[in-house]
Amino acid sequence: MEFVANNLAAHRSAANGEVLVDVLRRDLGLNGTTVACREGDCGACTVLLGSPRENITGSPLRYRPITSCISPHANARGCHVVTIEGLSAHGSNPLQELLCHYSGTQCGFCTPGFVVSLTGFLLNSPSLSFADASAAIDGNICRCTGYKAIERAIQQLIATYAPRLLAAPSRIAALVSEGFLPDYFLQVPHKLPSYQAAAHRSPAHPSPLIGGGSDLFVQRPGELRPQELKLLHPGKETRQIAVEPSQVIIPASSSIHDFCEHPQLKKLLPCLDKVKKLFASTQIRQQATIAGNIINASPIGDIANFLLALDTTLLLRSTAGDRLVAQKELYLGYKTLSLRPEELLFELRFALPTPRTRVSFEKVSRRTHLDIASVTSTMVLTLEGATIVAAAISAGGVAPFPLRLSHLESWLVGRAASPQTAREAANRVTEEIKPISDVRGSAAYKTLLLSQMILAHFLSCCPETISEESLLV
Amino acid sequence: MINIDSLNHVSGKSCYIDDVPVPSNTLYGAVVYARIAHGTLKAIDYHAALQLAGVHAVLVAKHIPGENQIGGIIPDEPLLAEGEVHFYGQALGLILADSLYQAQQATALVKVSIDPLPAVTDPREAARKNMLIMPAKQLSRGCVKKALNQCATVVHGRADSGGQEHLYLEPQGAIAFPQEGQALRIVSSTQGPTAVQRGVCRVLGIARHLVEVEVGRLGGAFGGKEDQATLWAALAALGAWHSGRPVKLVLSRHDDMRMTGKRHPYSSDYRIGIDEQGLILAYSATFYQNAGASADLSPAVLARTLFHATNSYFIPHVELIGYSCRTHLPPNTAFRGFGGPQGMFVIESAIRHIAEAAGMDPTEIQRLNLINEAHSFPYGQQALGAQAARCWQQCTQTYALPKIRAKVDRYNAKHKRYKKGMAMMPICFGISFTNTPMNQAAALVHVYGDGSVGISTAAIEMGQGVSTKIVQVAATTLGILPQLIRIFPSSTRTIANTSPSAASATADLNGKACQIACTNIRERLLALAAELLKLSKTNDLRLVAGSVYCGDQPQGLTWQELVGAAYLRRISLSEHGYYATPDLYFDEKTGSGQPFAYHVYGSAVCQVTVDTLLGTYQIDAVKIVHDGGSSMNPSIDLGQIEGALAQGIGWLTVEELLFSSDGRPLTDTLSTYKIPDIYHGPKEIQVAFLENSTHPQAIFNSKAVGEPPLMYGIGVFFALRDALRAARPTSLQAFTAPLTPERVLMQLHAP
Repeated sequence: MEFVANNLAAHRSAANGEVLVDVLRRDLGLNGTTVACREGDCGACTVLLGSPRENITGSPLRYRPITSCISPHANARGCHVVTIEGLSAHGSNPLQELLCHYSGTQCGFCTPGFVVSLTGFLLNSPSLSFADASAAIDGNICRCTGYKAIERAIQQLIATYAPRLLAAPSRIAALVSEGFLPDYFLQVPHKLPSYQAAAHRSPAHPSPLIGGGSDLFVQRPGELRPQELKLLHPGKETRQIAVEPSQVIIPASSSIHDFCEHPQLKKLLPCLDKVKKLFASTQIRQQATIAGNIINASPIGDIANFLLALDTTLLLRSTAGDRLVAQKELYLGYKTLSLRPEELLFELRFALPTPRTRVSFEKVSRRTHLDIASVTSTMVLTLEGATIVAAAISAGGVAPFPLRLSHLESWLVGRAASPQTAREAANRVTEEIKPISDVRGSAAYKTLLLSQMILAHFLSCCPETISEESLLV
Repeated sequence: MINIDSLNHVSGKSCYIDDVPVPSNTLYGAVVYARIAHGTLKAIDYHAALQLAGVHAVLVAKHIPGENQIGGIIPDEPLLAEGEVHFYGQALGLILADSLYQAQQATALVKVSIDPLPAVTDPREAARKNMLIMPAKQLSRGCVKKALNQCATVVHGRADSGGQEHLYLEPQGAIAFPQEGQALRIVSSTQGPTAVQRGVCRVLGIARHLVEVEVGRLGGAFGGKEDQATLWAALAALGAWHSGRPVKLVLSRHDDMRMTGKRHPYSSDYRIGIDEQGLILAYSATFYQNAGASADLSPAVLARTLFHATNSYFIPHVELIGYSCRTHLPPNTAFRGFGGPQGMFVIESAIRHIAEAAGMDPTEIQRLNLINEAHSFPYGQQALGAQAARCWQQCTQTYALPKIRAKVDRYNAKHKRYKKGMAMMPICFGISFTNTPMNQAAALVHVYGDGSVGISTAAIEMGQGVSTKIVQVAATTLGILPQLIRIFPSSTRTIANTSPSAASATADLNGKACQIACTNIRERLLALAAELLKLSKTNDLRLVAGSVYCGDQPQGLTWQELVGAAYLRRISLSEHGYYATPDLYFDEKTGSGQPFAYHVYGSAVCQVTVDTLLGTYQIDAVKIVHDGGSSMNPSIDLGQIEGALAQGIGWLTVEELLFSSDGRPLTDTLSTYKIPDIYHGPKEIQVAFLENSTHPQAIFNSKAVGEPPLMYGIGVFFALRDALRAARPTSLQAFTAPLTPERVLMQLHAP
């Protein structure tokens, strides 16, 4: 058995690179899940992937919403895959009824995805707040577009059910007894096949390593789908992110979600919440790995740029042994890395920010959420009084790879954290960047935007000495 | 009444084109298309593709048995290119294979050789080169030249609006099933079954009765499947014709975005003059419509642009000219609003421009010039039942417009980085196909022996809730419970010669036809009831909730009993209802007539906040008073209003279609073309229906609602502009849409 699809065993039927939605629709006959974009960019194909790892709401399985159109189905090995059919076994549930009642469906094509994502919210949200519910559907596009009606249904859902669900000792049992989930959910943990990571067939030809697949299955789906791939199986990473006294250690296949939602990290890096909100969608954050964002080497990788400003060090592992490389030394040119062919990114480390350190993250894209940056930048500023003693600034979208603004950094050291410094920094930054004009914006725009972001960084890092009134003329 | 489809939608049981079961011998199609925007097609070598395992055939233009032509209004669009290619994405051939994957793989093996020719993507350049789809269209009244001389202020300028990808979530597709003889049954994701039937028959060279086109439902369309669904159905039919096997052709998103046309981009020049009070005396505009490579629906779209060029305003002297410009882009097509929004964007731009020049409040100019019953539109139709002023009034009162303005100004005086802006947006939209003959519809109603009812119409359910409205019409007219009624998939077998589900008129046209059919059945049954009850006349008899009443007295006779009795007495339980909108006419030569059954009005106030540091913005609120007549389903109509608004906002803010200078699409994926997500819409939407509005030509007095509310979104553009002017009061910002964060930042920092 490969995985459990709703209440039924699913056996291996295709090359492991075949995306999950095709296995569901074609091989298992579960065609309630719709396919609209095959880019993970609309959420219509959202399914839940339940894997044996206790989550915060007390369920023995952790259910992660993912976009099944760009997920190799082998990443579902040993998991409980929940599709719209698995939630509608006995007619409709209260969530579905509320969506009907508030006219939360129009053409209906996106609707199964919304229902599944909102079920993920019911399973996972510690607070069951309206904000959490909206965030849970930040990766679901409705073109018709019934967002307001869906919001009205959610408000009623929360008003009616949140108090009881929050009070229940087991969320999943409560969801079953309230009728949101069929009762087979309680039996599924006992049915899951045990998953063995080593059980790869030997591939006929070398294939790329795949984490969540959320980038490679957008870029090269035709090539990857028929292949036996080497999979890193994100979401089944057994190592945890470790916050040690002096440093943070991140296993490379941690998901973006695990990174952004880490309770200690959230306290140490308050801007992590903004990083999360502006990084893709709930589904993609669950699929995509930290390693993928670094190794993919996109100049506008959000996490890559964020970690770059934190002076992250990479532990590269191969049969020849381990090697530590500063992330800023990794990038040689556009998608060119100083990584040896046999090497694997194993973990990432960065030093803990001190109380004197301020971190500011900015990202601007055409659409604020679920979009790729025109420019992204992170500033890490260490202050002594009103003097800058250290600066690390990254900028994405202005060079062939995630860039550290080293000239500006050294110019800043020793200067006062003042409006004059900020303005001059905003002028100087244009000297060390070479943006190109593309669909994310013209070179002139990106140049101007980074300048403006430098000002925004100073506003955010130095509220004691720099105000909007003093900075903006 | 709750949407009858919603329960299937939420449980994943609704059947879209890709879910239709197919026999095991089905072949899968993939389209080979041009990767160059303009050039001479030298050769298509598909030898290697045919060698690939699973590939059965590659069909190109020479395999077409009938006419290689699918152009609807003007025959200028081949099904498969021959001789020349005219846009990147133009279909060249069809691969048929055992699996979709094999068919897609094979497309890469087809060698296409094209000698490139210069490509034109700009409509003004096309007009200069006389590359026009048809002669210029004109509409005028009075004498603009003379009137301008009497104006206190005159300005002229330019306004540009971009295209818009429909992005219906269900990609285009069709399945062709060969039947006995030469016949074909086609399941298509189309708004226009007859258009598909016409196209398929033309391409195959066969009579229409041999081709049956069926549509279950669409996963969104918005105009994109009105004319452009025909291509895929015709290709599937061609494949089935040659192979004798069912052929399924469902596009990938990527192919769909590359190969299909969008909303027309327009580039326009305007001239406007006002007197000292702010009354608009004269307005002229020249519209350069970017039609793309072939006519498609462009002539009709342009006609609607001219009809809506003065929006909700009365202007005595008007001179409008429109050029439908042929460029090397995919043929642009219908999109919710159908040219109306593009025309309205220009006059709204002109009003802001002249207000700024005259130092007046644009809101005041808008209000002063609203059309009323005494006025007529530039095309001669009297503005009977005009609701512009009432909508405006109810809007400004309900939402306390002066307070909103004062709050915005107070905020802006206090804040440096963030600036707020607001704008009013009145709308006026004519209901009917501007091509008068298309305003007809039919409904076939069967009452079965057990009292259940099945209804066929040409109303395609694509999310707008038309099936629910037709159930309401039938249930109310027959006097039975809605649970007894089923809406059948639309088929050219049951309803012939149909108009597409479009022009906001679907519920009116098909609803009225259904009402006529149901009325006839009901009258026959009530006559029988009178006989059964031994009453002399039927005057007081009615059917209510499945029982026969005389006055207020139930007669102990149920619908089911009555139906059973009718069958035994050999009284027909079926009816074909036919409706043609009365009193419509239009004289193309004089440019006058009565093209619309009625107009829908409304007013909205839009509020935004701009981060002037980074150029990003958020839409705070859109508050609407909408003239929905007496809405027969406020919940569905509210969904139409909110949904259309979101699409209108998307069009003018973040939805930006980019092509390289040689005509290659650059925004052909969801990662590069962004439509509104849950956070992009207004944080607050308020909708109130205009009180006491009806119109007899609207079904049950419930006015058409599909397209008009899209144009409230135009107000968001001008609210953003208002905020920009709060940051830089002296600069005249360009009227260029969409107003992306990039344009906002560049305008704020323009020298």
